[in-house]
Amino acid sequence: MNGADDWSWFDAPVTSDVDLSSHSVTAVLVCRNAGSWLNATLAGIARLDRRPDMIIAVDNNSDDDTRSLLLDAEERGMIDVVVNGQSYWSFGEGVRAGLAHAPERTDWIWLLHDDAVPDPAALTELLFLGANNPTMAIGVPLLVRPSRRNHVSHTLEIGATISGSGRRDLGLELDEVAQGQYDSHAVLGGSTAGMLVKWASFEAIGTFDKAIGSYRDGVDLGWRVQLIDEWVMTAPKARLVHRQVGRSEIRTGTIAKQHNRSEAAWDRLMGLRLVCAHSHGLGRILTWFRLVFATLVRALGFLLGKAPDRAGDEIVALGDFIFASRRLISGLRKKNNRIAKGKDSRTRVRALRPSIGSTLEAAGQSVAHWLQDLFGSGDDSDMTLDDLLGDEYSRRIGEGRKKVPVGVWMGLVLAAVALMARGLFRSGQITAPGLLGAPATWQDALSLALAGSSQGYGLPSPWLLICAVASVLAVHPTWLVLIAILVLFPAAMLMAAWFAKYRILNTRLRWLAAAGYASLPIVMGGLNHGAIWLMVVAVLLPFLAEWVQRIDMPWSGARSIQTMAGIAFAGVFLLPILPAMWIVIIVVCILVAALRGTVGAVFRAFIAAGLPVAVWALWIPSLARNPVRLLMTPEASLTPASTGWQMIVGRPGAAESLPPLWVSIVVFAVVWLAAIISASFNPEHRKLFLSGMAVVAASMWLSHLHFTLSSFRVVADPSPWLLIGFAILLLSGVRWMDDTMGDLSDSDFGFRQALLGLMSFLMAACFLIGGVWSVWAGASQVTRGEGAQLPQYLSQTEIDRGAATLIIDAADGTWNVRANGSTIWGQGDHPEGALLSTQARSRTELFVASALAGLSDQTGAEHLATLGVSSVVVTNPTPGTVTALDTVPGIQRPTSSPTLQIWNVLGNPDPPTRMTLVSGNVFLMYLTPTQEIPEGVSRTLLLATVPDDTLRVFVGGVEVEPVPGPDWRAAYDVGTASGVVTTTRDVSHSWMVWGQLGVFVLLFIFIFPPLGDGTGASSRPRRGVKGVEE
Amino acid sequence: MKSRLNLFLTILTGLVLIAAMAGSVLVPMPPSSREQITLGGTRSVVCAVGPSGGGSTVGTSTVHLTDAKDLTAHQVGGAGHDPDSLVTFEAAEKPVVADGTPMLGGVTIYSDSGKTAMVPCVSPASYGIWNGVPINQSATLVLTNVDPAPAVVDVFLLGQSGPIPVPGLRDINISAGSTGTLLLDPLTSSPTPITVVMRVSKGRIAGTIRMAGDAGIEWMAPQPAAESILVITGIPAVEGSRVLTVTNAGDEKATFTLKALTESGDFLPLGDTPIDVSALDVLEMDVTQAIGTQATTLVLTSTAPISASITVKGSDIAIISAQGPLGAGLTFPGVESATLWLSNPTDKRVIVTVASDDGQGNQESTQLVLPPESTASTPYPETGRVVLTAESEAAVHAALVVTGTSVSVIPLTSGSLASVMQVPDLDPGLG
Repeated sequence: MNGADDWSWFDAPVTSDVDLSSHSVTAVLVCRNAGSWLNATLAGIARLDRRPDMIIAVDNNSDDDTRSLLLDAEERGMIDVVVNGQSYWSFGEGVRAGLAHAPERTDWIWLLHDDAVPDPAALTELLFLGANNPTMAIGVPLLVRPSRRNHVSHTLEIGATISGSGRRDLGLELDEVAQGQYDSHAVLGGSTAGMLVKWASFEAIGTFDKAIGSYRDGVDLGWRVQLIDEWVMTAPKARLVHRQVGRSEIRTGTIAKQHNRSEAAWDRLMGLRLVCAHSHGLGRILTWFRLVFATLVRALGFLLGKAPDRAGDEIVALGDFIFASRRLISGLRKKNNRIAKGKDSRTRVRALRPSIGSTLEAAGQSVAHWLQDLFGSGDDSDMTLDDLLGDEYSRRIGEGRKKVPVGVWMGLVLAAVALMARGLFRSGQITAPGLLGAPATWQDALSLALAGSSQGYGLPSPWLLICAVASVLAVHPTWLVLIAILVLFPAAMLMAAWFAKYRILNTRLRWLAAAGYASLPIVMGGLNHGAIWLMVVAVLLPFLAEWVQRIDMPWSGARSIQTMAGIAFAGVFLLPILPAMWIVIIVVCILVAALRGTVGAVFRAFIAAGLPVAVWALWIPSLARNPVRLLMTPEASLTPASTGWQMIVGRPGAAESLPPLWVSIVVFAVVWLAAIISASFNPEHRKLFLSGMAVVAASMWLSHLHFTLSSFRVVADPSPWLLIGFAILLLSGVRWMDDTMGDLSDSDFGFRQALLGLMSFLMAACFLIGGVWSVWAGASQVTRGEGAQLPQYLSQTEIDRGAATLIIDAADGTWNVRANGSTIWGQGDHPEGALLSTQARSRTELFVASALAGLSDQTGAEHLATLGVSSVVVTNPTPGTVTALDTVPGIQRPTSSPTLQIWNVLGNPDPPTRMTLVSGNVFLMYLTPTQEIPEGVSRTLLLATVPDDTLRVFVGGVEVEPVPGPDWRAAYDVGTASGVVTTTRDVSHSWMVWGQLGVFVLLFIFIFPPLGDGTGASSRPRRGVKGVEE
Repeated sequence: MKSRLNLFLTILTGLVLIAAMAGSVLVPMPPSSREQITLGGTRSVVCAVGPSGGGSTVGTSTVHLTDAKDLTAHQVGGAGHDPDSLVTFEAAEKPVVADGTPMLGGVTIYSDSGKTAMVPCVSPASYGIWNGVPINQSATLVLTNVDPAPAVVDVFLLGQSGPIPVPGLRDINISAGSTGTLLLDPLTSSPTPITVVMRVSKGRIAGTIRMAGDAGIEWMAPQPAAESILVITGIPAVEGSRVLTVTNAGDEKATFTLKALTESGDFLPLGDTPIDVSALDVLEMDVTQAIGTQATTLVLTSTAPISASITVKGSDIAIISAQGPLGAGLTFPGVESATLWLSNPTDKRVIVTVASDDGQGNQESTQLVLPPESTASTPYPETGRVVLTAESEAAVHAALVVTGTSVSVIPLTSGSLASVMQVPDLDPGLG
């Protein structure tokens, strides 16, 4: 037995005991403008192992050489009759005309499309199925996509059904490969390409109906066959290669085009008509509304998916359905009712149609496929022919060999996040050294963000507005957005770094780089410091880098907007965070576009750069007034002093937020090392290396700069620049490793392999160390509730009594006036309340300076009372300060400890609050938030804040008017009003928030690539076995 | 060729960037220009006076006050003195209250039967500690309330066996503008000196302890607060015993070391072995042998806040408690037979200027340079007004030591650690 004999079973013809010779077949080939592909179809027909008894070709008045090809084929005996048709004929009308020329009625009709090439055994297999299944009225073959020799064939269709919304349901996976896995089963219908129909059944059901002229006509036939209690079966072994020239709009002069419709719109219309025509009774109305609603939803979905053309198709189809289909649908419905045999057939049809949940499932799968397109590797180049033929083959595209399940990795990440954020599993305000408390409600947050405009600080602090809007999404409480960022940060970082897939080919190396990049901002102490904005920068950077790289891509349509939208989207965040960074990014983007792209690319770069500026346009005047803000990050006053040389190893800030020095050295030294090696061995990476180095050097010099911003002494925060610098260095090193892996894959082991192996190990080990520290202590300074610097009762007093606390740090010589239980967002950028008054602030500074100097301020208590300060707290007290405050009349020290001394400001009889009621120059009382003003006359309410036009004060629900006060405090004439005091704030420019939000949403939509073309094929490059299709 | 040029340029650029990084580290950060704030304000002091009329001891109290500018002073319940920069109340019978600048200083000189006790005028406060108070010396706690509102005081006694429970020492009311006294001897039979703690829950009190016993007469100003680093300046060079009393009024154990500064150098009187003081405990140690009879300054460094004093008992008794630094400056009256002792316990060099004006146009000025961890002395003018200023404002500790028939040590503390300060920064992250 020789080798050829081993495979002889594979090539042996299928034999059976059924006599197919008794089954007569008339094949009808309907053609229209098929000159480019008809020869292949004719050749396929000529190769059939079972020639139909009659082959009739119908030419629907083609404009090209289709008719001459058919006549030539008739001459050569490949077909028997050529019938002339009309250009406006549908496929069904062509079949009818063809059958009219058949000399006799045969058992079967084989319907052929001019772009479907049958396998030699196609008809035989169909007949075999029909012969073995007497109740089968229609046999549906397997339709596959054209492919190259020795490449896998992708299934186009093997039967079809239709959902309640008119969606075509093929029951296939994306890019499903036809490799003999199908069994014959019942379906609702299928494509008419290669469909075998029992002639008698064909006539019984009324042949084709003019309501469904194309696309869904096969499903319509099958549906009506079900109604007469006959079956539609799939014949997987009967294979045709179908080009789908109609659906892919290659064919000219189609029915759809004659109606000025796209093929997709025409297909959709057919689907709508089909479902509607098969509804009956009261269900007709419900079905009609359901179809309309579903179409509108689909249109919206396509619009959001940046496929406006497909959305348009939906609307056009809907229009035709509503306004141009009634009579046709009615005719088909009557036909259906006439032939329907009863409830059983309808029940069977129901079983052959997808359930109502299938639409949602299909939508979910579309999203999943789309995400897979975005993030998947789609690589099946490992696949061999043996894999395809082996029994164990069950893999789909994108699956590699054995690897750790994704679920395990996700579980590990979740566990790491839970461990990192373990300090947050309690109640209370979330704070960190650089993170102030969140306002109580999202309304307060918005009011705070928008109220800044009235205080002379220019238009809303943009970062504050971003935080406030994010708080709206969380609804309540406002700090939930912080939890979300902390919890989602690792996943977001990995997703962001995954965008490097086009720059780093090796998958393992890509994950290593992603993990390393994700740990950088944490090991730099950013998370510990509570620099949420740094986390946002870190997430956006990889996306931004990729989009800038793609600015010169010659895409068109929605795709061309994607990069522009992406850059602008990132800019909406980055501009408020660090305007100087955005300026640098703009310059880089325009340079890249100018050097690599066309004028169009430069134009897109300008648009992308300018959009965020337009979004935050109302902030620009404020920025112009305070140009220092260009270099400042949010809450600039909380930026710690720099650490000098330690920035070389990624340590920009305060020691308590940073890891042990050795951890920083380990993590960042390996980044430096990889980058240096990269620059040494690969000249192409030297620019990258020098760029990263330059950014690090610049950030070190930047930390030398001191400024005054909103009366705060501030320093420029080098951490975002350091992050960029080290990210560039990391990329440089990883790119070298990736390139080297590719170059050395076929080389013998040598120095470079050894170096590569060593670097891989070092990088993995060092990033693991960094990762372990990140998980264990990366967020340890982010506290919640307990652990606050001061006793909780002080916060409670501030909230309950509406008082304030003066806090002095005698070690640093700093101070703060805190109200409402905690310092909140925005107060790191500009002072609030009483501290807006120059007079009040100066007087407080004098009191604090006197205390620090050991000097007793004899009138200090009176001033503190005007601020509403009821407690003075000194941390790290010095003896001189304690002595000085002990001798201040009007304050009393009830408690003391080495690290904390607290004095109470005495009142008369109650301690001071931020609301004082006076009558002329006579003090009446201090008011708590819930306390009512008693009835009386001629009273004035003094608030411990500066006069503010946007502040509205109500006493017992009655608004009181502002009047000149005795000092810097806002004063209101209470008159005879009585009741609880409430305040509201008129916010300005609230309309602007909606506009900004709208632009933001649009940008967010456009950063995702458009949806696929609806053919079911993946948008990723198709890869065959050991090869790639283009 | 091109690749070599590329490599050269890369190396050159790299070197430039390395230099830039090194420069950012080596080049010092420019000092930030910060606004200065001039500390004005006032200082109030209360000068205790001795008993006059009745009682077992009758002496004469003379109060001397001086300031950089004209000060105002009056006896409690009495008429005021004309504003002047140098004020004297002869034979004062009531405590004297004075208001002036932070440089205001004053002293009460009490003479009785040839013995003299001196005590500086002190600011009313809400807290005070007196260490090493002997019980059998007719010790009296004098509490003066000069404010227009009543004050409420709690007094605590601590002995070597811990707190001494004594009823009636809580919520002691001192009416506005009045003085209350508390005789300590009957309150306890402790054989060893005790520590008296005054805590004012309402108002402010100027407190003094005065003693008149067979050991001599002594008046003690309070130590303002427990501290972790204490400096006892002005231990005189007289014959007699020296007993160190250390009080830990806190609730955790304190461990301290002792260092002595003399004009000839510094040394560790008790070696480098740390000494423990339990919580709420008083420790008494005879350090006569350890420090000798030379003029000494003692520096105690503790792990927890403590208070301390040295009792020198020879022909007279002198109890010198730890006090705060001299601060920005002080004006003080001339004192007869006094020597000014200055101590610098820090690791920085300090220059102190002593300028005197005898009121008759004679002015003198001396500069003393104090090396790190050193002590020095200089004769002190007997009359007129002396202005003491220190270059390093918070470092120097000063005391006047009067020896002769009586021994008195007058600690000199300013009402302010500085006259001009940088504006303190507002830190929103605080709290």
